[in-house]
Parts: sequence; structure tokens; C-alpha cells
Amino acid sequence: MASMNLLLALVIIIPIFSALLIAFTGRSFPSFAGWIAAGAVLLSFAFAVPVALQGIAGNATELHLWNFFFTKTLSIDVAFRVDELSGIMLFVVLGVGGLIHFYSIEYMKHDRSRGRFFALLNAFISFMLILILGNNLLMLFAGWEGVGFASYALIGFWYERQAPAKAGIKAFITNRVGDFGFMIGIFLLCWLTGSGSLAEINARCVELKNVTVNIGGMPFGYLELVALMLFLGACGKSAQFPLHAWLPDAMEGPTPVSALIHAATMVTAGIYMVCRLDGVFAAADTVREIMLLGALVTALGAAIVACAQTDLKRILAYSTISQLGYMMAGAAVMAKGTAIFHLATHAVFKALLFLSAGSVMHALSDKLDIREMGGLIRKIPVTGIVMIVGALGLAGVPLFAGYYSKEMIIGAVAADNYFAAALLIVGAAITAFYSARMIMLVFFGESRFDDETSKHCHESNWIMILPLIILAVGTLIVGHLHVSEILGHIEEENLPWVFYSALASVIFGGGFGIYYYRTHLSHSTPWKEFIKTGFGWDAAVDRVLIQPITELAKWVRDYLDKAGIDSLAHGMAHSAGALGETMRTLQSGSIGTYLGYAVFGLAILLWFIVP
Amino acid sequence: MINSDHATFFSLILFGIGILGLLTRKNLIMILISVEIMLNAVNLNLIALSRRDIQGMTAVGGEAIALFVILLAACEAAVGLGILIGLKKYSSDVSVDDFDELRD
Repeated sequence: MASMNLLLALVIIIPIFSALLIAFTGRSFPSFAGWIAAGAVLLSFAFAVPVALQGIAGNATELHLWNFFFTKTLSIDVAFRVDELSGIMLFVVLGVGGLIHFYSIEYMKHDRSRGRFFALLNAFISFMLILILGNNLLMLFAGWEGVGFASYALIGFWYERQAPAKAGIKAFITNRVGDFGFMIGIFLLCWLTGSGSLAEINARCVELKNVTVNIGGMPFGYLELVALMLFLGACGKSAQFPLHAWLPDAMEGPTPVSALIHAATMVTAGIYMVCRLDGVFAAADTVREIMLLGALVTALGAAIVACAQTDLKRILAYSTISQLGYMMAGAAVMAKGTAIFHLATHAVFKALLFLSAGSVMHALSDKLDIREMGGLIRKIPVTGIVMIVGALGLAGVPLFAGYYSKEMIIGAVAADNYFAAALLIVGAAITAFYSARMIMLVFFGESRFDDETSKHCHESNWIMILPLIILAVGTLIVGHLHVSEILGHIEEENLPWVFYSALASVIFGGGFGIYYYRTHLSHSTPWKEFIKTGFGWDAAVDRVLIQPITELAKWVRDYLDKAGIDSLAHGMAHSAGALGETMRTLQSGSIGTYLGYAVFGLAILLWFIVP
Repeated sequence: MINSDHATFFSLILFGIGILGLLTRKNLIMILISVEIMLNAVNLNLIALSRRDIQGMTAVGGEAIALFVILLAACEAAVGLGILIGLKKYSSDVSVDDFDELRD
């Protein structure tokens, strides 16, 4: 086991070291930065394989480094642990992450600050490793905040332009709302259990189920409260309704970042956290009802919005939100195996879709509007084929990854609630529809781009194509791995109607999409425009939340800060100045006057000393 | 009969003269002389008080300190006059009003 500990330490240290190395040398040697970054992640992946396989087999590896801090009641170690769940996550993060790093070498070749890009990308991987491998809540939270920072910095990578900078801030602030809840959840949990250890917390939740607290005279389950707060955190990170609006805007970042952070790994951290603390959620029945409801709203709402998008990456972003809703639904009915299975398959096919989208952008000189594409299968056949494979995975066509995991989630939800399962099946049909629409509008039908673009249109080179092909093969394979069974047996309703209706919905949705968009675009209508804005959610949030807060901030600035605090501070400075101006006349420089002061002082002294 | 009370009173008058001279005179030499007068007033006071009997005993400490003060006065006169000769180079009548560089 000692060798496993060493490997685990290497897995974590290599990306951290590489991130620092690139951060300090990336400016001087930008062309090496990509190779170093990709090499580091792939090396880390190679070391992670035996550790992760051991973990999946049930032999957890634990690495205790040092004591982070301790109080009378709470002791937190810097410690890492690889068990079944983190083993799977290791494969996802380092495997998919490594391929995306490799792809980025070529994709970011012409960017002058690619040193910064790769340093941040490696830093992201480091934080993500801390998040998934951390043995206690505080480590998990440290990683959680770290990936949030990396996400912010990479969304705003092209900070010279206004949109990415704003999108970065939006993502960060929205996550802050969720993190606020998450932090309260962590504090409450540490307070209740007197321990930060994830395993210990999960084990103790059964006995603590009936602990209640009184809020305004009403008894609430303590763990219900904790679970609600943790769910809020998961909502922020995993872009669940109502904290989902940052993810579509996050597409302003470079495409590999969208693939790595905003599709495959970081956004799944919320799902991971819920699965990791399943003991807490198992003890909170009411909150799980809320979670299921939220997940359904997210899964269906985002899928519908995806149908109306015209920006290729925004389609994928809304699709990600929708798929995260599916995972959350799986987690809400305590089928963490299905949620993690879908997480893994989704990471593969969504990374593939994003990277293909990047390849399409590359071919079309950074165009993203699907209304100006079409017929690309003849121009860039390899990208086209792998993207179709990815879309089949997303739509949930049999043999491809998404089919198995989505089917399992629907089955697990059906065991809990038929109505919810039915809604998820409808969602599957919509998913198939927008996948078909995306593929048809990008790769088939007549070409809608101008001749100039057509002339420059070319297939990407092997550095970009190789990861795409590997991920396409992965999309075919990963669905057949029995990932969900690693995490224990799942209560699944093997009802034939679930199976057949899900399959039928995919065929119907996909078929309708292919038929409807077989040659040309549909016309824009006011309704579609409204759906395209995410049912006006952003505008509503702006009116209800952002504008009043801005007004309040302005009021505080003008009346509290400028008129209150500033005038107080300025008044003090001015009075000190005036006092000095008066006092300086005392210092005449004349010896006679000084002698006078001395005698005067002596007289005062004597006055006090002589009784 | 002249006793130590008279001497104390005289030393008070001398000290007052010294302070008066210190504050009113402009010439640095006169100021130095005023300082000397004040020092001597203090000496006289010390000696006069040490002559007093306190519970049948005579304290000689005052006379000892007076000797130190005389020494100090000599040093002060030496240093003061040295500075004064230096200042004489800048101003013929060494009036205190000519020197206000201390302000800067």
C-alpha cells in the first residue's frame, strides 16, 4: 500500500508543480507551455490508473499529509482518499482532462497569452483533484473554491473584450450565492458531528436523523436544513435552476475551457458532492423531493431552451444544464450509481461535442452561429463524423454512451415517482430533437456561409483530431462499462414501459428533428426568441434582483459613503491641517521666544509640583 | 541676625533677576550671564538649605551638589562662549534676533 500512497502523492503534485512551472516560465517559453501542461496531466493520469483501479476494486488508498488545524472539538487533516467514487472521478477528470489539454496545444497555438492559459488549466486540474480526493469537508471546500476561481479566470481569459470579463464575474458571483449555502452546510455539519471526515459524517447521519432545531417555534430536521444548504451549493456549481444562468454566458471562454470546466468536470462537482454526502441526503426526505423537483425543472427547461438557441456553444451549454438536471434527479432518488454513471458518460460525449464545436469554429474562422453553417460534412468529414457520434451519445441512441446512463436514471426515478420519470422521458425526446437539429443545421442541408469562409474552410490537424477520435471511441465504449454497479446495487424499476417509451421518445424526437431541419432553417418567431433568452430568466433576474441592488448600492455610495464616511474622514484631515497651520506660528525660530516658552513651561511645572 | 531664610530669599531674588535677564536681553553674552546668575542663585539656595538643622543633624549634601553645579557652570560657560565666538563670524552684535534658522 505504501507504493499506492506514493503514486497518489505524485498524481496530486505533478499538476500543481506543472501549473507553477508554467506560471513562472510561460511568458518566456509560450510554445512549450502546452506540451508541459498536457504532459503533466497525462503523466498524472498514468500514475492515477493503478490507484483508481485499486479504489474501484474496493481497496481505498488513504494519504494523510499533515494536520491542517485543530480545535478542542474539531480536527482537520490535509488528507486524500481514493475509494470507488473518487476512483471513477479520477478517470473522468484526468482522462478527459488530459485529452482536452492535448487538444488545446493546437487550439490555442496562436494566442499570445497561452502561458497563462495552460497555467490556469493545470491549476484547475490540481484544484479538481483536491476536490475529488479530499478526505474531509474542508479539503473538498478548498478544491471547490479553487475550481471556482480557475473557472472565473478562464471564462474571462480574453478579458480585453467586455463580454468574457462580464461572464466571468457573473459566474463567480452566482457561484458565491451557492457557496454561501454550502459553507453554512459545512459549518452545521461540522458542528453537529464534531468531525470533518466525509466517511464519519455519512456513517453518523443515520443516528442523527431525528435531531431537530427550532426556527421561529417550528421544529425542523437538522439534517434537512444541512441538506438544503448543501443543495444550494450544488445548484450554484452544477448550474441547476435557479442558479443556472451563469453557464450559458460562460461559453465566452475558450472552447477547451468550456469542454473541460463547463461540461465535463467542474460543473459535475455539485453532483459529486451530493453523491459523496449521500448519508446526509438519505436522512433528508423533504429536501430530496425539492431536489427532484428542481432537477426536473432544470432538465426540461434547459432542454427546451436548447432547441431555440442559434449559437453552437450555447446549445451545448443548455444541453449541459439539462443533463446535469438528469444527474441531479438520479442523485435525488438516492441512486448515486446512476448519477455518477451519467456523469462519466456525459463527460466523455459532451467533451467530444465541445471539442468538435471548437474544430468547427477553427474551420469557419471562429463562426459560431449555426444559421451560417450547413453542409459542412463535405468540408470537414472527420470532425463531422465524431460530432455525430457525440450527438448520438447525447441523444441517447442505443449502443452509444448516453443511452445506458440516461435509461438507468429514468429507471431509478421511476422506482420513486412515475410522474417524474415520465417528464424525464419527455426531456429525452427533446434532447434527441435538439441534438438532431444541431447536427442537421451544422453538417447537412445547403451551405449558408459566404465564399470567403468557404475558401479558408479546412480540417484541423492531427493534434486536434486525435483527442476527438479517442473520445468518439470512448463514447462507444463507456456506456458498456458497468460504472453504476461499482457504487452499490440500485433500486431500479425494470418496467418495460419505461424502457420502450424512453427508446420511442428518442426515436421520435430525433427523427422529427432530422425531418424538420433536413434542408433548411425554420423561421424565427417571437415565441422562439423568448425561449432563446432562457424564458426571459436573465431579464427577470435583472429586474427583480440586480437593478434594485444596483440602486441600493448607488444610494449607499452617495449617502452613506460619500456624504457620511468620506466627509467624516475629510473633516478629520482638514481639522488636523488647520490645527497644524495654527501651531506652526509658535515655531518662530527666535531663541528669545523659545526661552520664554521654556520659562513658561517651568512655571507650569512648578505650579503643579509645589504644593 | 542673618539666617538661612534670608539667604533663601536672596537666592529667589537672584533667580528672578536671572530669568528677567534671560527673557529681556537680546545680546547672547547677556543671556549667558543671566544663565550664570540663575545657576549661582540655585547654588546659594542649596548651601542655605544645607545649613539648616533637620532634627539636630546638618546635611552636607547641598554643599556637595553646589560644587558639582560650579563645575557644570564652568563647562557651560566654556561651551557657550565657544559657540558664541563661532556665531560672531556671522553677526557683529550677537543678538538673538539674528539667528532664527532653528525654525527651518
